Amino acid sequence: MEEKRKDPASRGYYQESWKILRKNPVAMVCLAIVLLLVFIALFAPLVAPFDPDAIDMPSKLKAPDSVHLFGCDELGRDILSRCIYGCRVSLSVGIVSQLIAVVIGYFMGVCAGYFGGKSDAAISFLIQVFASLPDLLLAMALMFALGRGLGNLYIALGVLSWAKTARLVRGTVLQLKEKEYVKACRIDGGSSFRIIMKHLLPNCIPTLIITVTMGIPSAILSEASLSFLGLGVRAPMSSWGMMISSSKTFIRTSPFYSLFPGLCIIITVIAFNMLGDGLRDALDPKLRK
Amino acid sequence: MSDIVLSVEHLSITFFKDKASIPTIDDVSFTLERGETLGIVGESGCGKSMTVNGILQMVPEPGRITGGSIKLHGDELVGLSERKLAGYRGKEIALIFQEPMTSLNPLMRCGAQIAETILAHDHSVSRKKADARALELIRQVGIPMPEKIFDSIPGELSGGMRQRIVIAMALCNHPSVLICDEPTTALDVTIQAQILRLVNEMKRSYNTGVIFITHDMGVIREMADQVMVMYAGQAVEYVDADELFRHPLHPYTQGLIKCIPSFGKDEEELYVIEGSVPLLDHLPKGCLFAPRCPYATQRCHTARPQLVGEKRHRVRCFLYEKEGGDA
Amino acid sequence: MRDVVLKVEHLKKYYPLRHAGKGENALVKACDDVSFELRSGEVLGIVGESGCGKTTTMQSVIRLIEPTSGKITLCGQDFRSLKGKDLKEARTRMKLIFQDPYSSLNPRMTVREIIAEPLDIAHGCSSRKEREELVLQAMRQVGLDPAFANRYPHEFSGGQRQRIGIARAIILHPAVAICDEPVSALDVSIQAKIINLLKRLQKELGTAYIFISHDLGVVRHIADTVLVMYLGRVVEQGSCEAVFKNPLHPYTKALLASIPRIDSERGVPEAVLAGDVPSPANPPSGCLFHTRCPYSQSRCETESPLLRGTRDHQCACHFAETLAQ
Repeated sequence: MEEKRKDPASRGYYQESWKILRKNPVAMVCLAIVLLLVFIALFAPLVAPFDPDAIDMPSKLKAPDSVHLFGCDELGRDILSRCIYGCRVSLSVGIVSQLIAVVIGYFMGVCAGYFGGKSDAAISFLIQVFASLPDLLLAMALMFALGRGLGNLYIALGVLSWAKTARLVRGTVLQLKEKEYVKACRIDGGSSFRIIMKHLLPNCIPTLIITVTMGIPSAILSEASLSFLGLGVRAPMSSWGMMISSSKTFIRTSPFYSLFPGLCIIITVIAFNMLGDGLRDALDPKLRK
Repeated sequence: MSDIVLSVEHLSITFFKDKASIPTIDDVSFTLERGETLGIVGESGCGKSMTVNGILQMVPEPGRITGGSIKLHGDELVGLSERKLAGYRGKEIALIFQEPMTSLNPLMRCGAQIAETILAHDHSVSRKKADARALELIRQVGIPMPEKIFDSIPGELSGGMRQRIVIAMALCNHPSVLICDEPTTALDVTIQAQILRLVNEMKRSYNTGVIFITHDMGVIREMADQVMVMYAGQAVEYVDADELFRHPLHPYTQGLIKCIPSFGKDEEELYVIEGSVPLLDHLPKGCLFAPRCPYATQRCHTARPQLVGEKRHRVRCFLYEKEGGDA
Repeated sequence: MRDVVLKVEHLKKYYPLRHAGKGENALVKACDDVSFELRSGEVLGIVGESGCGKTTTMQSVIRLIEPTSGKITLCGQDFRSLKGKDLKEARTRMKLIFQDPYSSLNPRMTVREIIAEPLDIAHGCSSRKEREELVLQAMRQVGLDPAFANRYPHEFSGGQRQRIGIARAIILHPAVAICDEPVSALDVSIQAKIINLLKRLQKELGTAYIFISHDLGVVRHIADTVLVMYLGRVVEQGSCEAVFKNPLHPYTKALLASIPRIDSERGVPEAVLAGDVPSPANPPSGCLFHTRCPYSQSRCETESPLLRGTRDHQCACHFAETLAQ
């Protein structure tokens, strides 16, 4: 009839975003690193050259060579293998804790932003409280209360970061609520549940993707800090933070021991952060033409 | 003639994107005399605002002026350095936008903003004198209680008042050319009438040339002496205003005038121009309006017409190529 | 005479003013005592400048916001007293067409989902096939190619988006469609198409429209009756013929004189209003228009005029009769 646009294939929002992301070389390199890390974490037993827990006293604190690429620790365990298994802990802590945070955060944020009034006042107060507590202190307190272990680490770090997500979601929802399509749905008699699921959630997902991606590195760092302080996972399990913690005694004699887990943390954190930046550019509608 | 303040000849602006070149403004020419209003009319995406950007040499990336000349009082502007251009912008050529807040600093008092603009282009004026002149300007643009408004920030004013402040700011350095880019589109009709009147008054008392951009044919009727109708980056008709409404020649102009619901007639159905403005990166091969034109012939789809006709009334259409073609 | 589908009586919407200063009214009367009737297949135009309460009135009528008081009768039912299932059912009879074709469509939904939403909410179809059939029919009715059903809104131009919005509004064949400035965001050549479309649908479906616009030319073209609002109050009301040919209220006169018209002489008309619309938080006493009225007298400053006149043409001005001569 009128005003036909040329391009024949219909492309959704995420396909457009993917197209933008693909043109960003830094983000693509970071995405490759992240995928590689996920692969390593999933298939740790296949990738690792040695058993990470196999003690071999004669080769203790051995410098890197052709057999032990990253060297050996104070019990002669292969540092490369321990780093690979540590990747499992670090990544899973990052991802799972952020997923917990997103679920809590979205729910709280929507309740505050959409319903407003008393629930907004209460939730906003809670967000303020969480935001004003020092992260690490809160995490330590939670770990003391819950006890050490991977599962508790997920919960502690998830609880730690829901407030940020909730605040972002609340802001987004406050804007979305005024959109005419939300009003149209209300005029049609649509329920709040419908509005939250059909109109608010799909429009919040870009925000959520970005917060998860940006939240993972800080969760990984928190895990490392907790493990360094001895509040992370339990002993035989390896995590990058724990490795750094035990290496601190040997930092002068065997610097490689702290170097490699440290590098792992740095690379992972940078990769996630820069991927997050790229995603923000690709998903932000304002940066679109 | 010495009265000509601005003459634009064969201005072309091209955007370079992904190795493709997109002609955004194609061969636009016009002259503007002192005390005259040139109306530029067309739908969104027709290149009205881009023409203005071209005159000010502020074409956004990745666009470039690829041809033509812009002469202000006979001085060539195309190719001047940024520093020299800055001396012209705001002094010789002033701009009024649709949204007054884009030209106002929300945190600065109105009087101070006008005084700053005066001082920016004339260093010999003292701050005190600039303030006095600013107050005088605020009074001139018809603001009640000018002393009070002098000390207000833009946020405290209504849209109409803000637009008046912007007009005062634009006129503070006695520009030779005043460009109004849809200055009343965001305003209510009664306020619009006030602002239009003010622009006309100011044009008379400052003897400036005015370029008035709008999509509203009614506003053109009230304001313009000369009219340039633009379509997809080209000027399709260039004529004095009375003639435009008496004998519009180009089918696009005829359509624009016919599709407005008029007060006099009781028509059942409004006239419609089929189709829509083409995207600039997918322009038709022949006449740009051919796909929507009720009179299009085979030739219109293959060849681009040139502006034809006498100096007083030029039109870009094959229908009028020979002398004596009737409307 | 055709039956009345919507009757609004003494509708009021007052907002409490949070930070009321000295001398300011504690209430903002965004819509004050508005009454009108709408017959099936008729078009009621509401005109006025921004801030005059056009949009508030309509949002109250459709219960997007709860009115402070007043009675709304929709197809014989007392619309304001309805709840739950009855309300949902009644809501299928009155729809809104929005101004902004960009923010009125959810960017993450396909055209099919958008148009079908009122159906889904009302549980209006028994099968998927029927739903699809209705969606495609609505698309055809508004002149959209049904092949576009799987596309997203951002792939369409402003005019097409407005068509999607209209398709969504008419899919349930409502008795009343409220159009809130449906063409003011569009280019003139597209405006004409949308107005023609609305007129065609009115004939085909017998829908009655409430047409809100600041463009008097458009209202003159489409409306049967007109309501002129100023600061939340109706100042003139009557048949389109009467109001436009013989405006009684000084505000209506000024409004008509202010519109730039192509059939006028060159130059801006002299008889324009001075000053701005007063703040609704601090409205003038007496007749709300007296601060800008060229005929204002001392009586206007103290006494608020009532809406009076014939059934066909009413006006709220003390001097309507004298000014008419």
